[in-house]
Amino acid sequence: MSVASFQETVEAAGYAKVIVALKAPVQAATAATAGTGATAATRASTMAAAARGPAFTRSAAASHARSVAQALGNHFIFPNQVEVPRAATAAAGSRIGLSLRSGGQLSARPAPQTPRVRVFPRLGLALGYVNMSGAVALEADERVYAVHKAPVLSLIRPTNVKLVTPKRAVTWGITRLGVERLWDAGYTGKGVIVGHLDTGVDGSHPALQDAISAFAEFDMSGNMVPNAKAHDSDQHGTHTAGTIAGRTTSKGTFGIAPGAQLACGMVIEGGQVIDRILAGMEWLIEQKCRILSMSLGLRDFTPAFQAVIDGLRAAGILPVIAVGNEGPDTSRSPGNYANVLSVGALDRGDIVADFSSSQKFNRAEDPLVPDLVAPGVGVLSCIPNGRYAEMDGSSMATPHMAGLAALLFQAKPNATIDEVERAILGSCQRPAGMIADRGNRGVPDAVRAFELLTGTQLPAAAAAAAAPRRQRRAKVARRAQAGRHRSAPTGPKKQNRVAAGKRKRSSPGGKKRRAVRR
Amino acid sequence: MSEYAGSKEWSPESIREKLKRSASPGVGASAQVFLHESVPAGSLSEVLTRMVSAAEKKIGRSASVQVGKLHPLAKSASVTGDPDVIAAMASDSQVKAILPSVIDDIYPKPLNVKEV
Repeated sequence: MSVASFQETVEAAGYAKVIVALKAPVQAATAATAGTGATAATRASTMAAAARGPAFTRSAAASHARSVAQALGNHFIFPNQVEVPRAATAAAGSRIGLSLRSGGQLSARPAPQTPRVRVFPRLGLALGYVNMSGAVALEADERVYAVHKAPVLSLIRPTNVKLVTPKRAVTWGITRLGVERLWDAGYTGKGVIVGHLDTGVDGSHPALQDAISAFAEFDMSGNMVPNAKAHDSDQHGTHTAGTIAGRTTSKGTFGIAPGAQLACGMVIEGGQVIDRILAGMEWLIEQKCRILSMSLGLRDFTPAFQAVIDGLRAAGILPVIAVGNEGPDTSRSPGNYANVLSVGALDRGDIVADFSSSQKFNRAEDPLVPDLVAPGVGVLSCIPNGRYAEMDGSSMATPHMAGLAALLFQAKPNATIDEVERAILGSCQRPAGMIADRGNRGVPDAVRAFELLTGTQLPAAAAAAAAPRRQRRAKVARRAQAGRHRSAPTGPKKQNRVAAGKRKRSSPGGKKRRAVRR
Repeated sequence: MSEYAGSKEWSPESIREKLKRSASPGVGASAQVFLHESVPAGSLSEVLTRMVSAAEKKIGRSASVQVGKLHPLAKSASVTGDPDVIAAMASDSQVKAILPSVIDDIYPKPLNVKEV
C-alpha cells in the first residue's frame, strides 16, 4: 500500500477506503510466493481466483466470505457521515450499504445488518473503511495478501467540449450537392441577399424567421403597394424561399444558404403579371441582391425579357431561372436564354425527372437548356401557416442553385457573377447514364465549385471550426479597442463595404454571351 | 418586328388573337411592349408615343391606345386599348416583342405536392 497516500487520506478524513486482496485458504502459500509489494489488487485477485479454479463453488465461496468477514471484521470501521464523491458512490454504493439522504447527498452510513467489510470471494477481495490502526492490522494479518487504498472512481472526462446546435436531418438535395462541407467551413450565405420573385412569401413561418430583408408587393399596374406585409398568395413562393434560405426547424434542414437574406417580390399571383415581374426585377437592383431566383417563365421562347436579363447581369445580379416542367423539347422564357443559369430537375436516383424541360436552340452559344440539373423531386420545404410540404418541379431545383450561389458569394464576396456562374457550371458532372440532351452538364458539386471559384482547397472541418473561434477572439479584442478609442470601423463589415465598392460589374453577355434567336 | 420574335405561341398573329380574346368592351386589351436594347431608356416614352400614333394611323383608329408604366431596364411599357392597334405596333422595327399582360400559366406548376 502507498503509505503516504493512505496517510494523507486518513489525516484529512480520519479513515480511508481500502481494497484488500485476500489469500485463499488453500492457496495461501502459492499467493505468498507471488511476491510482496504487489502493484495492483487486480493482479492479486486474478492470481487468487485462478488458483482456486472451478472447484471454488458458490457455496464454498459464501462460506469463505463469511469466515473472512468474521476474522477480519474488527480491522474495519463503520465510517460515520462519510461524504463520498458522487461518482465513486455511484460505482460502489450498492456494495457497501450507501444510502441516499435528504438533499441528495450520499452518505456511507452503515445500514442495518450491514457488515463492516464486504467480501467478494470469487474475486478474492474485501472492501471497507479502515483507520490507521486497522490498516496496520490488516497488513499484518496472514490472510491478507495486500492492502490498497481504493481509488476514487470518476467519469472519464471528454478533452474538448464544444457547444453546438443539434444537427437535424438534412434534405437529400443538400446531401447530393455536398453543401454541408461548405457549412462546416463556415459558409452559410451570411451577408448575401438573394432576390426572389414569386407568389410572395409567408414571413411569419418559423423557417423564415430573420430571413427576409425586404418584401415588396406590386399591384396590377406594377406599382409597389405601400407597407405590404410579407405574405404568400399561394404556396409556391414560400416553398422556393425555404429552399434558398430556410432556417432549421423541427422538420429538418432544407435551406441551402440558411444564413442568407431574401428580398422577396410578390409578382405572380394573378392578373397583369408581366408588368409586375418587370417592376420586381427593377426593385431587386435597389435591394443590392447578388442573385435572382426566379421559378417562373412563359412557355416556349420569347426574347421579350432579354433586355431586362442583360440589365440584371450588368447590375451584378446572377439570374438563376427554372427551365420548366413540360418535359423534353420544351422550355420557358427567360429560363431558356443563353445568359441565365437555367435549371432542370433531378431525382434521387440521379436521373433527370421526366417532367423536367429540355430543349436545344439554333444558336451558337449555349444552345442547350437547362445548363444543369439540381434536386427537384421530393423537395421538402416550408409552406404558409407553419406547414411543410414536398414538391416536384424545376421550380424546386432552381432555388437550390440560388442558395449555392449565395454560399459562393460569401466565400468570395468580390467575385463577379460570371465567376460564380462559371464555378457552378465547371463543378458539374454528368452521372453515368444521364443523357446530355436532358441533363446538359449534369449535377453541380458545392465543394468543387468553391475550389474553382476561390482557387483554394476547402478547409478541413476541424480547421474551419477553429476559424470562427479565432474570429470571435479578434472581434472581442476589436470591440475592446473600439470602446477605448472609438476608432473607425474595422473588420469584416468594412471589408465588405470595400469589396462592394470595388465590385466588378458583369458583362451583360456573361458566360455565354446572349443569343436572342433560336 | 425586325427579328424573329420567338415561338409560335408568341408570334404576332398569336398575340393578336390572344389580345382580341382578352379585350373587354370599353377597356380593350392590355399588353406589354418590349423594344430593342438599342432604344435609349431615356427616350422610351417618346418612341412609344410615336409607335402608337403610327399604329393608330395604320389601323385608322385614333386615340385608341394608352401607354402605361414604363420599365426602363426592360426597355418595355404596358399599353392598354384597341387590340388591333396594339398588334399593329409589332410591325415597327424597334419592337422586339409584344406579350399579353395577363398570363395564366406564368410558372411551372409543382407536381406531386404532398404536405408532410
